[in-house]
Amino acid sequence: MKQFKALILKEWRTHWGVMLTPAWLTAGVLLITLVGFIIAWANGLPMNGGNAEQYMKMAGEYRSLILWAANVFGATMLGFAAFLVMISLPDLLLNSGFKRKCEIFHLSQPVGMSKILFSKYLFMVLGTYIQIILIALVFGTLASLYVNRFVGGDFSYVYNGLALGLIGRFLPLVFLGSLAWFFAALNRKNYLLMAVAIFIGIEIAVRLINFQTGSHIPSINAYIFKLSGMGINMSSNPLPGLTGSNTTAMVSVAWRNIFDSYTWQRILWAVVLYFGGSWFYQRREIS
Amino acid sequence: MTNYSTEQPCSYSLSNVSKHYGKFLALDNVSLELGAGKIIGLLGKNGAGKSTLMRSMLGFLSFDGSISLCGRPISHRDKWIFEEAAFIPDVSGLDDRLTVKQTIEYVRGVNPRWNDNTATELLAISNLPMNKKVGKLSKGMKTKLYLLITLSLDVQFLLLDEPTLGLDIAFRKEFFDKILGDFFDENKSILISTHQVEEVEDILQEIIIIDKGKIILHEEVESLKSRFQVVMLPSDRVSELQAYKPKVLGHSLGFVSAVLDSSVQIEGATYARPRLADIFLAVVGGTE
Repeated sequence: MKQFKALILKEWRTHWGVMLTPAWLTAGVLLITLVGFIIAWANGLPMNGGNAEQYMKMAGEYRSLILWAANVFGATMLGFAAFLVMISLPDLLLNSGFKRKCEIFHLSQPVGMSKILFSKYLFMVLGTYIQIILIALVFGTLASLYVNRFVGGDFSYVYNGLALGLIGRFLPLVFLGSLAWFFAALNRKNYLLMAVAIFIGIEIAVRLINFQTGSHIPSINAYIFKLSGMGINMSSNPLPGLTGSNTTAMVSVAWRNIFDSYTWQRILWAVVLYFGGSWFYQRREIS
Repeated sequence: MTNYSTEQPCSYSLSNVSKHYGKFLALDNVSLELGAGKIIGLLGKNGAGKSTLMRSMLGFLSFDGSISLCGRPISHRDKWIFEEAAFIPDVSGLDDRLTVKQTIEYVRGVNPRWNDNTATELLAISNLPMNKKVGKLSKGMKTKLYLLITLSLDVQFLLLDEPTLGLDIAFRKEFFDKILGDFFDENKSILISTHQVEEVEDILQEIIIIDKGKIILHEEVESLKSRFQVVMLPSDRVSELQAYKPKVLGHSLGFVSAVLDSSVQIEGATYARPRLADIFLAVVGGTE
């Protein structure tokens, strides 16, 4: 446990800058918002949100739905920020030691490779996710409190929306992170180029075969896009007609759609790609 | 399951070790026994295979043949090797992103061989800036930190691959004094690869010379020096030296010299005890 803690701490100390990408982006959004407020204030525009009653009327029966959807959207945006971390962090975790010529120092400690690799993977997945959960909770609450001044609505929908957005993005992000992990383990110099080249190559080959033989081999890129998809698949449980009265039904349908036919495939692929990448990493020679 | 003792003095054993990089043969059937309580020099030209040999001994590289440490066979990427051996590489290989304090905390956390008492003693006299990033340290300071970390580990074998490359002469002396004073004893061994043979000459007990991946000499320093002598003659008698086919001839102020077998006697010649650098050149030859 002592070793594991030291490994995680080392990863944090060496990669906190990239790990905190969602926090930096959130801070950027806040800064822009603040500048907007300052400009509005300087131009004498009302800072109290104008006529709250008017907003309440406009929101009407959709008040809770607005809160819910805004938080699903906010959590989804954080998911996109986490996406950036998930595709860039594996390369840093696995290859920055090699690029900075300190790989020998880290690997000349009596720590098993499986422990080193698992600590890196856990740092990447849980570190990123815990971070966006915290950001979502803090800013989701604050922003919703502000919005709620004007529209009113059931505040439990705030956390329902956040939870849906965050849980819905977890497995696609883990899948993407594992895919990047695999290629970063495979190629220590330019994993992204390699991955893109391979996927484009396969796509071209598939299309050529389909064209030549008239067969219908499905596109691997479309499959990967689906597995890493950021949207919620509503096809299996279509939404009811949108009215304020069926907000609860709509939310429950959205929750039912969060685990779709790709859920197990994402988990399976994440496991395969993690172990596959780790296997390649362990076979590397250190010079 | 075999029980391997770590309390007993242990040795490195290499048998028919070969290493290929593609078609290039970096190690060619190397067999060695490195016993406990020895300071051993590993000499060779650039690209002779010194670093490859050390990295194979540490499990960093895959290889053909067998290597064992303390009687236990080594495989590629075995972690237990570092419970018995520590390594200082030829480049300042610490992590630039960590501070000195974080680097020490990291090794203390991951390495069960870390000895807090030794580390505290060494730190007290090191004057290392604890909160400074390693990347901001001078090369000398980085080496000092690497040395401090390495000497704070209770290991049996220390492998040094050109550890003082690029450091000034005062620091190099301090480095080797520290190794001798704080690490070495009759149960521990040090394998040093260096180009600055003259600096370690007086501390080495054994010499290994490697050339083109082959071990061409492994002998105790005293025995080696008694097998050779420097023979010096006036320059006009160079042919008498050349008759013994020395690999290298030295020229100085009207004299010519060569390292020859100690049994060689030439009338009127001056004889001197050879330095390791002379013997190295006599065995391996000069630049090609």
